Amino acid sequence: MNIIEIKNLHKIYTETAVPVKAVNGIDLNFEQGEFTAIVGPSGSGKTTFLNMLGGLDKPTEGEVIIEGINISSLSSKQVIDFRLRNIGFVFQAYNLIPVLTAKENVEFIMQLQNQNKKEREERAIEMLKAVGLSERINNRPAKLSGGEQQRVAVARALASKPKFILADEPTANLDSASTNNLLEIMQELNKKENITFIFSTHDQRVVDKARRIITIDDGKVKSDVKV
Amino acid sequence: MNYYKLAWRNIWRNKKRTLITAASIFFALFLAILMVGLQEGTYAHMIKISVEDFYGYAQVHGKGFSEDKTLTNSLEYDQNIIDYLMSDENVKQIQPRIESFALSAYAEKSKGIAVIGVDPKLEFEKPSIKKRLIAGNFDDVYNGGIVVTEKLAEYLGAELGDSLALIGQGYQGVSAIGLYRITAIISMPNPMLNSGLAYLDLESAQELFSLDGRVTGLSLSFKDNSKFKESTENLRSKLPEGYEIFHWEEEMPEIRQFIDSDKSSGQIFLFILYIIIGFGIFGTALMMIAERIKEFGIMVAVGMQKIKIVILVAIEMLYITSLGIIASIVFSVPVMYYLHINPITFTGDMAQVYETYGFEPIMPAAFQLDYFMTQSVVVIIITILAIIYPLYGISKLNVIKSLRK
Repeated sequence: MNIIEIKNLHKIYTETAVPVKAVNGIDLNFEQGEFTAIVGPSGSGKTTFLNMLGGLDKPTEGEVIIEGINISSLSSKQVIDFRLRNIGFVFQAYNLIPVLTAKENVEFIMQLQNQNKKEREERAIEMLKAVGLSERINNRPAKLSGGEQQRVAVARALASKPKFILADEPTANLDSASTNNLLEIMQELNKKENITFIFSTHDQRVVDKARRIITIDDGKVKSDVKV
Repeated sequence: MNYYKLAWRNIWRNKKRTLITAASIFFALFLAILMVGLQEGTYAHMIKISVEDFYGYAQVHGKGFSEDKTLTNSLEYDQNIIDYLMSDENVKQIQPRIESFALSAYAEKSKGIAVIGVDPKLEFEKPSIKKRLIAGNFDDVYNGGIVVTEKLAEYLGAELGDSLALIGQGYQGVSAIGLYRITAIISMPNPMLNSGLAYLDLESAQELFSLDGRVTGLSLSFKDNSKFKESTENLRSKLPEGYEIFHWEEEMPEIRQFIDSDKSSGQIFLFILYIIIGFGIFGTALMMIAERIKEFGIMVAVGMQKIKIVILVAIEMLYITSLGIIASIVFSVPVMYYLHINPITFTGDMAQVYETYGFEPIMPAAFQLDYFMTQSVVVIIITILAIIYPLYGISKLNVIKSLRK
C-alpha cells in the first residue's frame, strides 16, 4: 500500500539570473516499510526532492500526497503540524538541542505533541534503549560521540511514531563503525516495526543496505531499482 | 522540559554574552534609579522646606494679600473662619501666621529680616523645626522671647539672652517697635532664611504690628497632602467674601517650574539611557537568533511551530533582563537607603549655586518602592520593544535557508 504518492513534481529556483530546475518532473510512490536510498551526484536534486517530500519546501508544480493528504496545499502552520505527527527527520549534522540531555532531546518532539510526561519518559527510554543508548540517557550531546548523537537523532525521529523517516546524509559525518552500527539499528527498526526509511545519501554502505535504490540526476529519476 | 527550563538553560549557552547583557541592564537601571531617586529626593526636600516647614500646603489670606503683601490685607482670625475651613474633611490643621518684615538691630549692627508670628505649640512641635534648634529652647518664646536664625545671630553678633530690637511698620501704618530677648537659635536649611528670619509667638507679633486679633495668613495642612489642589479648589469655591486661598504651587510657582524643568532634563538623560539599554538588548537578541538560526530551522523542521520558538526566545530575553533588574535592585536598595539617610552634601561652587537659588546644598535620595518598580517596568517594556524585530525575524524564518547555514 502506498503511503506516499508523488505526482509530476517540479521545483524551479528563480532567484538566480537563469532559472534552475532542481526537480524536473518526478513521479514516485513509496510503500509502508520501505528502506530506500536516494542517490545521485551533488546538485542532482535529491535534497530538494527530500525537502519537498518532508513539506519543508513547496513544489513549483506537482503534488506530494501522504496518506491521501496533499501536503503541498497545506498552510505553513498546518504543514509544520503535519510534520510533527507524521514525519521523522534525521539530519547529517545530528542537530540535537545542545542544552538537553539525550532523553530530553527524544522527549522534546513528544512534548510538542502534548503527550503526558509519563508517556514521554517511557517512550524516550524505550527508543534510546532501541538505539543502544540506555546507559547514556542523561548525557548532553557534547558528552556523546558523533555516532551516539546520530543514534539519539534516530531515537528522536522515531519517538513521535511517524509514518516515515526522512534521513538526509545521516552517515556523512560518521566513521565506519558508527555507520555500520547506525545502519544495523535502522534496519532492525525497519524490519521489526515496519517503519519506512527514505535516505538521501552518497554513502555506498547505506546504498548496500537499501532494498530500493532511486537514482536522481538533473532533477529526474534516472533509475528506480528494487533489490 | 518546559519552555521556562529550556530558556533558562539556553541563556547559559553563552555565559559571557548573558552576563555582559545583564550587566549593561544592571548599570543602566542602577543609574536610572540613582538619578530618579536623587531627583525625587531633592524635590521632596525642597517641597518640605518650602511647603511643610514654611508656607503650608495652602494658605488663606485676606483678599489682595497675595498681590500686595502688606498688613493692611491681613484677615480677622475668628471662630467663623476656623469653622469654615474645618468643614472640609481633608483639612487637618490650621496654623495662624503673621508674616512681615522689620529692621532687626543689636549693638552696632542692623539687618532687615522676615518676622514670623506663629503659634509656638504648632510651629515648634514640628519635628523638622525642633531638630533645627541649636541653642536655647522654644518654651521661653512665650515670655517675650524671640527665636532667631543662626546666620542672623552671627551677623549681628548677638547671643542667647541678648535683646534684639525690631523696628518696622504695623497695621494701617502705625509704628512697630519692640525689644525681645533671644531665647532660641535655630539653623534653617534654606540659606536665605537662615540669614534673616525671626520667630515670635503669635500674640507678641500681633502686639508688635498692632494686629489685634488679626493674622496675615492661615496655613493649612491636610490629612492627605497629595490632595492639596482638590481641597484648595473645594474651599475656594465657597470661600466667604474678603478672603482668598492659594495652594503652594500657585503661591510659589518657581518651585514647581524648577522641578518641572529639572525633571525634563532628567527625562532626556533617562531617554538616552533607555535607548542604550534598548540597543544592547536588541543587539543581543539579534546575535542570539543569528547564531541559532539553523537550530531554529531544525526545530521547525521537526514540528515546532514558529510562534513557540518566538515565545522561547522572548522568555530567554526576559530572563536576561530580569537578571539585570534583580541584580540592580539588590544593589541599589541599600545604596539608595544609605543616600536617603546620609544625603550628598555639596561644597564649593556647587554649594554656592544651590545657595544662590535659596536651596540647602544637599541632595537627599528618595527611598520609595514605586520608582524602583517604575524603572524596572520601563526596562521590561524596553526589552519587549527591543525584541519585537528580532522575534519577527523568527516568525519569517525560511526553514530551507536556515538548514543550509
